[in-house]
Amino acid sequence: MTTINTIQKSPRPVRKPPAVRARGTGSVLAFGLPLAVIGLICLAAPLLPLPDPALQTLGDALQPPVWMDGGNWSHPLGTDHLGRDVLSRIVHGGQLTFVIAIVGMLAGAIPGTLAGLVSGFYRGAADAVISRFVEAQLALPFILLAIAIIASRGRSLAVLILVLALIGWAQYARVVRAETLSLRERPFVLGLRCAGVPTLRILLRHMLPNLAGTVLVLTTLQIGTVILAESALSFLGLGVVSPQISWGAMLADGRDQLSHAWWVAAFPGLAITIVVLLVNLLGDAMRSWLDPKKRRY
Amino acid sequence: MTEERRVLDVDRLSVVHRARGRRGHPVVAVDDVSLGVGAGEIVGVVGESGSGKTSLAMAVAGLGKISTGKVTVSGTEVGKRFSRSARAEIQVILQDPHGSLDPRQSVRRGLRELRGIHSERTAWVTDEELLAKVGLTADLLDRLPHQMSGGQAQRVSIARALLLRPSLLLADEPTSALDVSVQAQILRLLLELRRTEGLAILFISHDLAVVRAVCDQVHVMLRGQVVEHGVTAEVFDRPAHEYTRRLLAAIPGRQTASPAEQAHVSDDSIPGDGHRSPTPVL
Amino acid sequence: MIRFLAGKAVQGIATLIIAVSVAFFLARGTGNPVREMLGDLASAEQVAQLNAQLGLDRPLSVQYLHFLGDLVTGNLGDSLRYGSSNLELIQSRLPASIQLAAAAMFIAVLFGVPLGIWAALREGRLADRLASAVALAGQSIPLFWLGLMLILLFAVGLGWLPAGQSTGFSSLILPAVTLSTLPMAQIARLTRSSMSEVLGEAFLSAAQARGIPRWRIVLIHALQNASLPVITIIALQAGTLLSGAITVEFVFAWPGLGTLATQAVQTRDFSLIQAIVVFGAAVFVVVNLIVDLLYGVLDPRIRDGVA
Repeated sequence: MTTINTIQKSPRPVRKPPAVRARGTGSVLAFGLPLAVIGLICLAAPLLPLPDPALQTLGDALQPPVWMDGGNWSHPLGTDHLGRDVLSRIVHGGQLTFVIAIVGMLAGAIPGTLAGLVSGFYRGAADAVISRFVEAQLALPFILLAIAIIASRGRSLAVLILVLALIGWAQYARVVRAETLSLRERPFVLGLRCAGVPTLRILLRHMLPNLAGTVLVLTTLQIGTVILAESALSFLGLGVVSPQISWGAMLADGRDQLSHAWWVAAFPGLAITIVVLLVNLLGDAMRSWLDPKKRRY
Repeated sequence: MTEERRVLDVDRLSVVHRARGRRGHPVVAVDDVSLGVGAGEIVGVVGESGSGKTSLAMAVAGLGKISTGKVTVSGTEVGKRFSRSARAEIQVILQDPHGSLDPRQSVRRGLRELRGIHSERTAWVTDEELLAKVGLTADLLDRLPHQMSGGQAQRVSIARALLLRPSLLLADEPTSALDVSVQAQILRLLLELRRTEGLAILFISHDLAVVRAVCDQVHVMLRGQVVEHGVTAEVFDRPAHEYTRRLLAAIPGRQTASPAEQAHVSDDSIPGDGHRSPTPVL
Repeated sequence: MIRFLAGKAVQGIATLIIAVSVAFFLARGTGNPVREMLGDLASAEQVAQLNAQLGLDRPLSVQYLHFLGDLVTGNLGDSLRYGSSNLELIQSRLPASIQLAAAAMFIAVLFGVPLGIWAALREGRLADRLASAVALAGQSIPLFWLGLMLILLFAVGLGWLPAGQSTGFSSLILPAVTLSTLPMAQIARLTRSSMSEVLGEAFLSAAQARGIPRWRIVLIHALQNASLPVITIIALQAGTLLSGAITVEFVFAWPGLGTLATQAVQTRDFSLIQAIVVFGAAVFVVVNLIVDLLYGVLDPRIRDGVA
């Protein structure tokens, strides 16, 4: 054991042969493909042979799913209290859910990454200020902050995106800062500075590409967080409002019917769980794919 | 000694690092050090880790702090207004061969970037010729660092430095992360480049055997100060300072030829001028 | 040590001030809570009157200074809806929130730590993958949905447990289990990773070579070494649980801070909302301070600024 340790600690850096990188591609595809398919189905919702998600047919109200007594194939997952088709609403609601998730994620990722990059690379005063803001942001209970903002500004898509950006940016800033701090100490940065490469170029053409993997993983995982946050807000009546549909908003509707029509709340929640689970699995798979050494549980 | 044609002049340099932590006192990393490197000369700086070698190297390269004193490279003072072309006069080779290259940049793209920044200095050689000078073949141009061996990566670093036609190469432990056989090859390459390109080298190392093999002059550093300096052979054969004696005594088993000595022997066997065929790719 | 603590405390206060300022400006910067409170049908006069009554007609900077001044004296303002002090309202709901958070954390540790240890001992095998899947699922399920489904199963379907409100011990079970999933997943993941790190270290093999049984090594040595990060997550999660239980409290109609917050939203009681945000941030900062303190006590390297 001791001898093995000594050998491993020899100064010669052990590099992985290129072939190792291919490992894990399988699991990235295994989680990425279903996610892409779900996303495409939701985006193509208007083209699919589904009933209008807003169409109210009170005579069909609260029909159970097809496999239960009283269910039929015209509403495979049943109907809600206004007779609207649950399946169609899930597929259409997925559109807004995905769009909000991606826009909200980007709205946090871009400023967060830049803040982390500046903070980690320049250090000093910029770092002190940015780090304090990151900590302050992380100290604010997210849903409470969202409530405070939405309560005084009213509900709108723009406010929702702002709120989602606020949960995201601090995470990016923190992770990117840490990565930048270690990256800037790498010898190649010294070499580049010594060769007279301008600082801005080092930042954008050398640091950023080397951070891309980390940011990509974080971005993937963050989509899951954003979907959960959006659904929580919409569930509390602070996010998406009627007539727009998102999965969280559907859940809020379903809560009132829980005792006699479980399917109205169950299926949108299941959709959220499946998508977030896939996103998290994809993020983990990407992490080990990009860097097998950093693989975490 | 070529006093009048000095490439590097370090004049009473001190580097004081501010206190780190709460109880810490300011650390004097380099204490009143003077040294010079003449054209085509290889000057060694030896010392244990913490002796101030790295602070000295960073100050000389214009990347670290200069508290007092003056560093002049080819007649230009190293300091705040260090122009881009003056910067190119001194290039560094560092310890970690893979870490010295951007992991996401191919050799070709890296060279192209340098050519874009120093268009006036880099037209003298094509990429292929440049790689040949460091004993590499052109098929390495499209590789990324992790697709190379340590020796290849270090040769690429040397090529990148060479491209800018520096008058001084600062080699900070250039071989200590390499396998023994590769060490000898890199040392041989440095000696060869000194001969063919007239490169002066400031060679920083803790490995006395290596320093003895390649350096014309040597400076021994202890706690930030140069305690002994002179022509390498003299310092090594008749060490004046107690610390130097201790360092020399600590060199392990000298019965077998060390890589450095192999390099020394091979260097003597290199024909006087003209291009050698590239050293075999590792 | 005292300097270490003082430094951390100053940092914490700075963080808190920035946090509440950010919250203040985000909430008041451009939006007008009065418009939101009175609705679109209110006349300009009504809006102006309420504005003046609440001091919202003054310049933002003046409002901000008042807000900070009140904070320093511990005054969190009065509720617009209930007419009583916000702090009293928060205090009255706090016990229920603490009860729920403590119960959830107890469940999370009770199941999360053994799950993590089990996975670490079976690293790479089926049990490890299974534990990993459970942990990942715990992080992917929307808590409020899980709560709804648990109500459906145990309250509506089986009738074993009450669906909501605080009516004794049995009513605590469902919300606590729901709330415990996220910290449980995190604790399991962290226990597993720090355990497997420690298990690979040489001193364990040395202990094993001296004939100490494996289970003892695992329990005593490894757990001791792996405890620090786990304590951190427990403490940090405890802070989050207090303020982050809003959706769960909402689902179970649990009379804690979260429900107070959602009620405040429904009644547009922005003064109360602001007070709860400030309180939540303060709890978080204080908990962080305690974690730093614990770290300083448990790991001398951090105290001396080495790590």
